[in-house]
Amino acid sequence: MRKVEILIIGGGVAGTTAAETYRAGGGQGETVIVSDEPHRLYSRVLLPNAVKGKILPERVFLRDEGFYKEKGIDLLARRSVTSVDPRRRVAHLDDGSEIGFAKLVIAVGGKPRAWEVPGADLPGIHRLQTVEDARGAAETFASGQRLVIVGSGFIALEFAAIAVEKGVKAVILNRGPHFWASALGEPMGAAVEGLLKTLGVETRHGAKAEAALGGARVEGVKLSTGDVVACDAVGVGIGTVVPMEAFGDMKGEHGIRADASLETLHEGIWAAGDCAEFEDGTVGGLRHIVGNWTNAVAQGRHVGQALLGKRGPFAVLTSYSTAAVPGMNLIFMGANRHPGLERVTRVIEPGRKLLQFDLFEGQAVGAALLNAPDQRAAVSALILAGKPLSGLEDKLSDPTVPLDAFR
Amino acid sequence: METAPKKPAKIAKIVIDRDLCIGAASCVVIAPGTFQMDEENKAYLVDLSAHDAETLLMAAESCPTKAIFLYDEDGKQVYP
Repeated sequence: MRKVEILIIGGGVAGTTAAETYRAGGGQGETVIVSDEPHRLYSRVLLPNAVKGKILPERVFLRDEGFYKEKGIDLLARRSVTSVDPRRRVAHLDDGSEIGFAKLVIAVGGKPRAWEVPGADLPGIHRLQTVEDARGAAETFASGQRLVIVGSGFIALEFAAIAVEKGVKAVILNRGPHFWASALGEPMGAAVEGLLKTLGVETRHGAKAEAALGGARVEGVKLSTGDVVACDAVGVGIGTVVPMEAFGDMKGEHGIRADASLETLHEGIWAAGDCAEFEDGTVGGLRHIVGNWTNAVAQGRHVGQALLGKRGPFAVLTSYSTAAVPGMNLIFMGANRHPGLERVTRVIEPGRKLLQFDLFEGQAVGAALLNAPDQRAAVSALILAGKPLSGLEDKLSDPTVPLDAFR
Repeated sequence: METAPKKPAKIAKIVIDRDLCIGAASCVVIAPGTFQMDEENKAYLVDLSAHDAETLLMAAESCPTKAIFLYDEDGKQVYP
């Protein structure tokens, strides 16, 4: 059996950054990355631009062929880990081989949630997770077509932006009561929906897809009401799930359970990136999963330091933004999806510039900023201050009250 | 390990392409002394000398849109 010092499961930006940080800090141990994709590191963030034809497909790759060799990182592509024995320090791979390790990083990310309706595998139905997905979507979408978008989150916005760019008429089918109800309150959701509408993208709420219809290709989506929305293509963006089967007692509720330093219950085994369900000290110790590029970079770096023996709490307030849709800059900070959040909205310009504060037990643990990047620093400081805000909701929603007052 | 990774050359110039920058701010996470976000949610250069070349390279490599261009003392592009 092969034995290595550092085993990293997942070849995305969290896993790759962990390996790079370890090497950059002088780590000399044999390092292996197991990736279930056939590619070296690429940017999922750039995939929509490849679909739009704004960049050449090769430009999504972030490391060249020589990188792994130069850094002494062994990339085992097209391989997945089927189980881990944390006590024996052994990982079992899908080809029947085993790799022993001294230290392990779990950075498997999230996989697109299955769209569980009849016809979901018809040609013309697209996801937006991989290089292959982007290639397929680029071949499908053409001007004058009708696109149905299933879901109302990050990926739905990316599909909407692609539709606007390519002259495709898009309709969003949203199951919830308002746009992006998992992360946005009604006022912010309505503003996002309104901005999409000005670009010609309509949204239907309470729209539950029951089946994809068609023969050789998708031709429509049938709703639970019996209505059929005719289309030439479907873009599905209904979230991700963390593949946890291999990780036994390290499984949490929705991800790999980790403490405030990103370590699992087993010493020398860490979780990083979109799969980590960690205790977040920047938002009052709430345990959550953060699925975005910047957090994956930050956690990969943190775990890379831990591999070098530099341990400590992970203390980066997560923040991410999308500017995919013209006229819409949306920034998220902290925890936005935790059960029991109270959402307080501050309207700066109706329908265009809003802030949403996400309160948990009276403390701001997250925020969403629509077309308000100038407020980023002030909102960030407000969350990190962690002051009790119960009873101050009226002031928080009043745009004439400076945000400094809540720090 | 058979070969030690070579150290990157000294970085003498950094250019941030504002059209490519989407405000992900991963560069700020890695090299906060060199990069910060402005009021339009775009990265801007604060102080090139605040971090060593290796950290600057990692910051540039972390950008999901490859918006950060690094040049050495001879004006040669180091990344991307």
